[in-house]
Amino acid sequence: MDRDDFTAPHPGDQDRDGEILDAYRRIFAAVDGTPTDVLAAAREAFHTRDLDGEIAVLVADSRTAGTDTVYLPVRAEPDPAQGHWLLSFAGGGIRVDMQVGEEQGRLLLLGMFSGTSGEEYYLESADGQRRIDVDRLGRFAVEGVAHGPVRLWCRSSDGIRVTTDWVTI
Amino acid sequence: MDDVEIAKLVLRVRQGDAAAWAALTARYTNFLWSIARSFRMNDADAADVVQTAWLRLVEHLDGIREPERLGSWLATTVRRECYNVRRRTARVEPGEPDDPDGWDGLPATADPLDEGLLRDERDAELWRAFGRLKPACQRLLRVLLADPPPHYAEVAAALDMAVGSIGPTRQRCLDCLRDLLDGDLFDQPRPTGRAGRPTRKR
Repeated sequence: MDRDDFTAPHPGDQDRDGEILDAYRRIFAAVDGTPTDVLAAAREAFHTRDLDGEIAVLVADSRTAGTDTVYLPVRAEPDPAQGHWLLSFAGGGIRVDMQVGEEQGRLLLLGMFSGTSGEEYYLESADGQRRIDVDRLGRFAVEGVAHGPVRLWCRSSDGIRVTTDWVTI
Repeated sequence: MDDVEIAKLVLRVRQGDAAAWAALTARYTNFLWSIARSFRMNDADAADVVQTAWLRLVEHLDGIREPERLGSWLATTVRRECYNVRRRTARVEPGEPDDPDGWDGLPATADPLDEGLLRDERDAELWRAFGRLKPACQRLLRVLLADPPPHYAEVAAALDMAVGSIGPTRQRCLDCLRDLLDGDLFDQPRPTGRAGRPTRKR
């Protein structure tokens, strides 16, 4: 048992602590309970499951430079203070490098797919998905993206679907 | 729900069992929300980071190496996403929020005294005392008191603390809380009925 296994320093404190904690648990649930749409979205997330696709995992995020994913900037230094940052995904035979920029609360995505001769490219977000135009060098630009979880996916000419990790932008 | 039950649910979800998925979300969504709120995410950002954690789990279902530790995996995902959102919104340098004190200058996300959600004067006093705790204590208690209660290992993952420090820190925070509370608060019989909307303090 790894919870509530403490020993109170004074007799009677343990019961009283339990009473205090119960009161706070009730208060948090009343004042700041999980919104019902958050609970519903969690249940709905299961429908995004794609058993056939492959995943390009997040390999670098300039927001977490120096922590769990290491970003090695080559040219432009990522500068969160200027409202843009860099994300990279790799896996399923592809790589996606993308810059996220923010202007007046809306986001601009500039990036490039490499390693795929994709036929279709999509940006998926909480609102649904939209097809994105990718030029023959793999480059794309998407304007007016709202904050929230997003992912990209592409279907190659041989029918294989590769999806990036979801990221909160 | 113990670790074995969680691992069984994960196996069922891998086989496409939507009811098992619903059970996992019922088990953990409140906990994940409490983590996001303990890091002072606003409503929209908290919703986004919790949703990202669930979406990412769907993608990585088959790759979760220790299904019995799912709660810690989800908690870690939410914590990291909170860091990312914080860096985006606060325009801080990378690395800064890793210092636990980096979160402490932010305003609290809920002000129940404005919302009339506290049911009587005792709750109002409890809430005021909570607001006077150190931010680190507020964060720990907020997460520990999620419903259903998380395991210490999950709380440790959520707050990037050592598991062994959770119990002693919790006790210290409770001691502080007791010092802040009127000694009689839990010794007197509960007043009957509602005390009405608590007095606003400005």
